[in-house]
Amino acid sequence: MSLLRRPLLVLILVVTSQFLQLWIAFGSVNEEGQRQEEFYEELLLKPLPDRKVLTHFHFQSSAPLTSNGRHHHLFPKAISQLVQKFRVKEMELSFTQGRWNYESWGGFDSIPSSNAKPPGVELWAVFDVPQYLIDSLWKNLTHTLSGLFCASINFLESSTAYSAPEWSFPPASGNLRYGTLPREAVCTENLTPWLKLLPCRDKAGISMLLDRPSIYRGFYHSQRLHLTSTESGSEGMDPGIVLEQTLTVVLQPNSQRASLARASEKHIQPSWSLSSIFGKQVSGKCVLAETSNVYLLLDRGLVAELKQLHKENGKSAEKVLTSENFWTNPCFELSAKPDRIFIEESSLLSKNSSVLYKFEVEKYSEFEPFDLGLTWKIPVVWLCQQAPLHASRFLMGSGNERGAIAISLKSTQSSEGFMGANSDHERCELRVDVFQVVPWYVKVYFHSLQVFVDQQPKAVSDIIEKIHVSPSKDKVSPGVMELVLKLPCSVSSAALTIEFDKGFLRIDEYPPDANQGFDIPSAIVSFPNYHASMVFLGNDSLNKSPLLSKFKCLLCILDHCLMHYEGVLLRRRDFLKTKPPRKLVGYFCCCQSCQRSLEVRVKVRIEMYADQVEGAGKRSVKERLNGNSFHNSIPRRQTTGKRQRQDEKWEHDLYHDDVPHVSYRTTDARDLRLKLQRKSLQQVSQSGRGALSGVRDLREKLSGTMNPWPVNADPPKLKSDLTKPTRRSVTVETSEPEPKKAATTEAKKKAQQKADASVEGFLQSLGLEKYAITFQVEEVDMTALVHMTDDDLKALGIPMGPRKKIILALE
Amino acid sequence: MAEPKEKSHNDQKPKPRVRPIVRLGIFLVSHSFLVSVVCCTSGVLALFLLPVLAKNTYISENALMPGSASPMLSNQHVLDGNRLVKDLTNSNLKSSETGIESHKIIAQYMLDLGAEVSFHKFHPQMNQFHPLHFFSSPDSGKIQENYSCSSYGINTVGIIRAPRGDGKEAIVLVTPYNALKSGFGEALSLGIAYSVFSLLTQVTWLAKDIIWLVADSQFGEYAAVSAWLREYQTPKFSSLSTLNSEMCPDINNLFEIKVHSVAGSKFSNSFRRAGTMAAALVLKVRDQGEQFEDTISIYAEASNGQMPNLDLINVVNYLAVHRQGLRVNVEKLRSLLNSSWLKSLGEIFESLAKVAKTLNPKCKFGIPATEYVEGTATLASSLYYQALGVPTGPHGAFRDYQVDAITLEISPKFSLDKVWRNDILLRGGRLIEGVIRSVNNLLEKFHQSFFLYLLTSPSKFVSVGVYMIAFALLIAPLPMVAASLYVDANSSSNFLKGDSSTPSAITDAAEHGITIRSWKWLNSAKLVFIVHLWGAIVSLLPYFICQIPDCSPMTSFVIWVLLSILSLLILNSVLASPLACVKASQEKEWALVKSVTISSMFIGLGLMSVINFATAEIGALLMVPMCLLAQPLKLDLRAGTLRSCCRIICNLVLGHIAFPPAAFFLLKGMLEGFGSANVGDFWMWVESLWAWNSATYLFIGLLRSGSNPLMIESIQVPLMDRVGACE
Repeated sequence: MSLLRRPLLVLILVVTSQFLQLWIAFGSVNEEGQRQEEFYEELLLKPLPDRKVLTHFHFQSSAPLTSNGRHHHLFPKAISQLVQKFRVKEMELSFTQGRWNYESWGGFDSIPSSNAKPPGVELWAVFDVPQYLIDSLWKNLTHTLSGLFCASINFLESSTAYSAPEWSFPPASGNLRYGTLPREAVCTENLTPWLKLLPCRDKAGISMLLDRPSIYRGFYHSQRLHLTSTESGSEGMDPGIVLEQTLTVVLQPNSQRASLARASEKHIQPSWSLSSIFGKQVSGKCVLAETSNVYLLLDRGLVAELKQLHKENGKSAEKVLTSENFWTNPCFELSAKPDRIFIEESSLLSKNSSVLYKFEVEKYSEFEPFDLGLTWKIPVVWLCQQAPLHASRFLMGSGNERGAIAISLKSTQSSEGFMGANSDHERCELRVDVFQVVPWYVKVYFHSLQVFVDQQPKAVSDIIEKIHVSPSKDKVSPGVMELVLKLPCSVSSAALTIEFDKGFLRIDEYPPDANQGFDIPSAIVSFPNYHASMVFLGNDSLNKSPLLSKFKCLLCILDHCLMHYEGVLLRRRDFLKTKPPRKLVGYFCCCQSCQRSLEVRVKVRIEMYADQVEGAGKRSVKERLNGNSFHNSIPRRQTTGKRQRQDEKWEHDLYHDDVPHVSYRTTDARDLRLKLQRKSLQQVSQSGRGALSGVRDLREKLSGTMNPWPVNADPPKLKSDLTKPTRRSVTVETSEPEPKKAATTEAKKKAQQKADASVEGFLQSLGLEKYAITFQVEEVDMTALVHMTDDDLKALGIPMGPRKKIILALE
Repeated sequence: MAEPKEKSHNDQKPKPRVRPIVRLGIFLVSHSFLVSVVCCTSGVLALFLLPVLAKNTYISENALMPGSASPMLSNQHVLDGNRLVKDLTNSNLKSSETGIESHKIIAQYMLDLGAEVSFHKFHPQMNQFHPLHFFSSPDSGKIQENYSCSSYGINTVGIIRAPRGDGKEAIVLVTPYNALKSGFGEALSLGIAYSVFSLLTQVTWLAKDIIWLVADSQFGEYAAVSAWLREYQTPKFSSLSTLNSEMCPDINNLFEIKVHSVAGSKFSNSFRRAGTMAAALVLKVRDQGEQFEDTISIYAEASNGQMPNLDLINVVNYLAVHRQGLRVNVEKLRSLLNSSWLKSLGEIFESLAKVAKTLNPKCKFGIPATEYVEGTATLASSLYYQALGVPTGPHGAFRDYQVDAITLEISPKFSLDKVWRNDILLRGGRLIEGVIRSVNNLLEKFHQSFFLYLLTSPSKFVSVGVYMIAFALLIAPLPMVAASLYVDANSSSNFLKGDSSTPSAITDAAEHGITIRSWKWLNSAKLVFIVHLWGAIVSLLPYFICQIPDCSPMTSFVIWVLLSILSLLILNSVLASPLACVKASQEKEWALVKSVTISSMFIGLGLMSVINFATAEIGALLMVPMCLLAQPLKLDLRAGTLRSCCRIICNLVLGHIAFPPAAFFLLKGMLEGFGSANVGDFWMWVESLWAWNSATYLFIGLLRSGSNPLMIESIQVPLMDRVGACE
């Protein structure tokens, strides 16, 4: 430990005091001997055949779930709170701009398979809760994330925007929700919050390279956040959260030489260095990181090509790339000496293996910054590994008639080598999974699905092994189609077509720029039988690298099937008559934008600090606004007074009808909740089933975070809730309302004048709101209602059933 | 005014207050003759006023921002383009047997730029007449089994992907190129396209993919483009007889292109696509420059009178005139340019404008006479090509898929020697670059500007709101005349009846008679329907005639005429014979027939004006006077006055003009001189119409022959007389 700390002490003088503190905190955790939070930073560089360079940043931080209560040293607190609150088991959020070029950047590595994403935002999450709660959790999660990453992810809240795939995503069936925003523009606003999740931000370590202009100058960039939380006792893994942040950028190094001498050196790959493509260098590692490495990957095709070149030169091919004097390599030159060289375990599938150079950033400092450069000497041409089939999707037909979505699959030449994988089967088959979501206004006729293999029409049942279709519902949910195709291995081309009609949209359902067309989200085509694996020979030191372990374990788990995101399709609608007048468009536009910002602000606050009414389905802005003020009840008024006032002002500006306004304002939260609790309690006691107790538990769990979060009073109880949700029996619960009742009496005193509103709420909770007016007429408030007998109610003219319900609820 | 009022006084004693609009209607109907004369003349006058009323074009879509960026096309790119031109012209000298070599060269050039290249093989589709496909979008075509290796074309397609775009949209640049016998102009157009293409591979501002289609024009420019578009939009996945590359060695040869570029270019023989097409430009260079200036001609008319969005023309016009200093030209009827009557009309308008200006100095009415003549010539050609419904260039294929497209034809000033060639390459390239850059800026599809317009010059247009007035005035008298005829027929019979019947007739019987009489028009409607049916049959006949093998246009035309007459006679004998025995007053019957015909004509014209305005306008010009003037010959002959004589002559002349072949000859004779006219020509013309699925053909077939009941009637009336006499 001390050995380790000595060079770091030098660094401490350099870095800011903030780091000093963090380091002390980190050290203290170490001394306690607990399993600590870890952070890894890595960078993978790979030259691409089309004169571009792939840079893949990989940051991983992990935290044990029960490390230190709510406190974290390295792990971003926002993320851990999010995991705890929404019970997220696994989640992936990606922001992407540009298209991954499967043909020239490869479609078979681990990088494209997990990092090639559709343009815009993609989010999927697996929740660890019962089915019926997932949707509400998803909605809240989208709002939280949209606040966290400054993106309009909250538009995924609407049930028309997300879907629940059954088995296209392997991680979990049923508990997964998937949504995309194809048109979201990605910019630095999204990158900065993402960087803030890193312990060193972009101030030290590899992340220093992240120069915004050069990233956004790239041909493709995809920032991804992948999050896995494992609970104790499951799968023998340590309980904890693992947060993986990756940034994949494809850049074109600008080579001056190409412009100087066009003809002669046209075919030489451009030379590059970190400083030339990013304009920055790495000055040492992030002190908080366990490891900080840079890798340079030469893929199979390139290595084979290089060996070929060497053979022509009459040298021994095998040792050239790995021997010590690698910088006298006649093909290229590296500016830094690699610390290790790994060669891929040559697999059965292909005789070529890729080569990996490892550079440890630790050895470099500010005075001697790390700047890896690659200089090509002779022209090299190679091809990337291709997925077995190349998929493309397009729309057929034109005009306002019917159209069709077509997905065409063409086999790539390189696929012969991979066919060996399945050759032991008698009938060689290639499995292809297709997942397609279509918005509801695209009326897809699922019966019109046609399959063509090698230009011959085939019966759908011959080719499709499994199919799952959930047709869209107008204004409610999108249509989802999941297919598993079994194609013969010798297939050269295949096509799927499915017809659609254009749905009718009301004038207010058009987006403000309706002439831009509508996006149909990307289809996902995956080949589950093909594992994009890379196993490197070398000792166990590699195991420590999360990036490389990703490469390694690709054989075993789930997300290694290749996902092809086909480009977003644009559907044009012709507007001859339905185009709203221009002025109206402007109005809509402004309205929508303000509504959005409103939603984001309000919602975020709810998520971060306040409770959230369960079971409320889709709520309007108005409700949400009022709900917010309703939750910001008296105790917190002082702290958030200023913003509260703003809220009221909005409400005032936006909604002149103050009837619902007042009614929400005057409702006492506790009363309502108490009644709700009682009601459910009674139901439980009546039915004797324990199922509902789970619901209540969750509600309590969620309400635990209602308090401003530095409050430490709640957690113990909360934890007991968390750990033993099912063991709580009904008898335990029946004793619970006692303290709450006291709270109600208190509230009653306070809310004398608001009483009739609470009567209304009470009736609403029983589903008897139509009698509210009767109570209002007789000026019955909550105080009076408690004392009312059966006869009194009869005198009011309440029928037998509701009367009994009310009395039962009052007891 | 007085007559109907009196009548209403007579009919109902307690006269309720008639609403003013009804009174106006009655007034117009009663004065239908005067009204129709006034309306028709004003309609024709309004048509001639259109060039004066034309407005200046303006760029309506703000996002286009033409010319706001300085052109990036440099001399380097021009040199690249020149290199391609040289290579192509050399290769033509080397091997002129097959066009394979030049396709290879083009593909190689594209590959070197780093574009995705693919070849598209196609067979020219026979132009077929689909009786029911006039208004539907083009289908994916009939599969023909007997393809031979010799008759295929090869389109070379290069695609540049926008570096940071999401690939949803694309801009298409088309250069027709005939590898077998290409003129220098075609090679030059490829050079221009290549220089733009090489620029676009380097720029970072691209948001839409760029597709460069080198369309093999050996079977016509349109065929190649439409074949490619068909494959792009409605591909056939199950083609039973795909072109087997094993069978045709030439094509195999084609795919042996050595990919030795590092630029990451991809070559594949599968069909490649980009996203939705935002706009398309077809670029041509004319071989012989006979102009005094470098000129660029814009062709915009697509099938059935569809036009691209005016903004596209505006952008080209703006960039060509204000940035590249090219003269922009749109098609005009040259024969009208020298006509003296038009010139004098223009002078009249000019002097009128002067007078108006002296009265009100703010009045900005009127244009110089020469400008007026040019405007009218342009307008006339604009009307003619829209009415014809045949696209004026390969851009028409795009419009069928709702893609805005125009053809640009550059005609250089002098013979294309080295210096001028580079100049044309630079200016043409910069123009194309500017247009692509503007379209690239678009977020939405073209929707801001007009789709319905007539051009009077590249920078002046008449919008739908203005030209509809002329048409509306022209057809306005039709319903009034129909109504007045109907009223006349009814009232005169009433009068007759009142005369003949005994005064002791019961009112019940009279009412019964009225109801019967009020349904009498059904008889005439039946006649009109029969004639329409005949029209439909006649217009479907060519479909069967063209199945006959080895038929010269002349003979098929004769067959057509004979069959038409035969079918008319059959129809007449089968269906119309009961009509002949009606013993009603011929005059009355005639009035009813005319009234029904006129109203059906009105409906037909109104409908056609929605589909294709120009056709409706020209149709109205020819038919409205005929409809209004038509009278049975026999009645006129009986009358024997000077007035009726004039009417007979008018009738005969108009009747013949309105007969489609006659109209065609007249038009052709007027434009080219009567010597060249030929009966076979008409057949060819009709054939071309239906080959292009032009709605005009249907219109001529159905409506024009539908208008013939009048002519037929004028012959038939004496016939019926004889029948009546027999009985």
